[in-house]
Amino acid sequence: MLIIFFRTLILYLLVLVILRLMGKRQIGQLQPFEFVVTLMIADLVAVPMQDKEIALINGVVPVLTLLFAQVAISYLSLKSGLVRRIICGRPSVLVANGQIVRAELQRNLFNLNDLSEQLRTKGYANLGDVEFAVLETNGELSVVPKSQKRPVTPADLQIPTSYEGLPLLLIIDGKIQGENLAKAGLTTDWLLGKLRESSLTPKTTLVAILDSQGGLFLQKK
Amino acid sequence: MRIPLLLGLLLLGIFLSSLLMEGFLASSAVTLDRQLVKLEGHMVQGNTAEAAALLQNLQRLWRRTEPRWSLLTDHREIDEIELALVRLASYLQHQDTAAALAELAAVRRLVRHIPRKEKLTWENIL
Repeated sequence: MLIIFFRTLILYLLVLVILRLMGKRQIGQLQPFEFVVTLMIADLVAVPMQDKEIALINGVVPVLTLLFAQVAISYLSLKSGLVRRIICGRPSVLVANGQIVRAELQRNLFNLNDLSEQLRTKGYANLGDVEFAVLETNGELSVVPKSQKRPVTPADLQIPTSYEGLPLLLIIDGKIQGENLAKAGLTTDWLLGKLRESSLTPKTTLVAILDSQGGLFLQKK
Repeated sequence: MRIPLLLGLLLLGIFLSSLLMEGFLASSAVTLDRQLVKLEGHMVQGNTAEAAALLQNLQRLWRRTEPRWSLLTDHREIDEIELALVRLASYLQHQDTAAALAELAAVRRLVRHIPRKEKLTWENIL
């Protein structure tokens, strides 16, 4: 039993490392070949995990080989447009200038119902509101609405806005994030002072967030 | 705090049951092997009647051990022991001592192999 326990643990850690090395993309954003590689890795480790008769190395070597092939192909795709086109294909424009491109739909085996469904999930129930719809290489549909149908922005209304940076997490679950404090050009003493004003200590604070306007949001544990 | 506690208990459960399993396999394998060694002695000395009686005891012991081993280890090897014991009984019945001794050596090897295979060692993990 412990043999299987440790074999599982070793293979789990291996898959964890492999997936980290393969990059940060989520399953939904994977290219088809990346998705297949992920499935293959899962399948390859599952067998030696439960079958003690198979040497662990027979599970590890194919997984490492897949990692090598995957990273090599990703690197080549990064460096060469030709390789990228061969491996990932090209995005297909399904709606161009408000008109459905039937040839592209047929080429991608995408019927009108699929298109309408995808557009609805993107928030466009009326096909007439769409200027461009592009089927990306990972299978996602990107939609560009007609200019009259897109949401109004402050720029359209000529409303001036101030700079909005990324809010910084200064305390997470009672722990001061020194790196973020340094990024904001603030000190621990300043933070402790702010906490004292709200009768808090780092230990009693669940979260402290500093926005780009200097506002500090605090929540007690 | 509850999650680490549950994880700890789960881990402890896995380790303890595994150690108990290893212990049980080792001790029952030793018991079976002792019987097999005695049987071998009788066969070498030509005590056919004693060997037949001991084989019956051995088969009874195996029938008690086999269901428990089936829960803990690979069924293929248990089937191999089962078949080897049947062959051993048949050779003894037909007084083919050489073949019976060869079969007995195979059974002993299989019986001793099971606890070795389930023991927590680097060779077994890797």
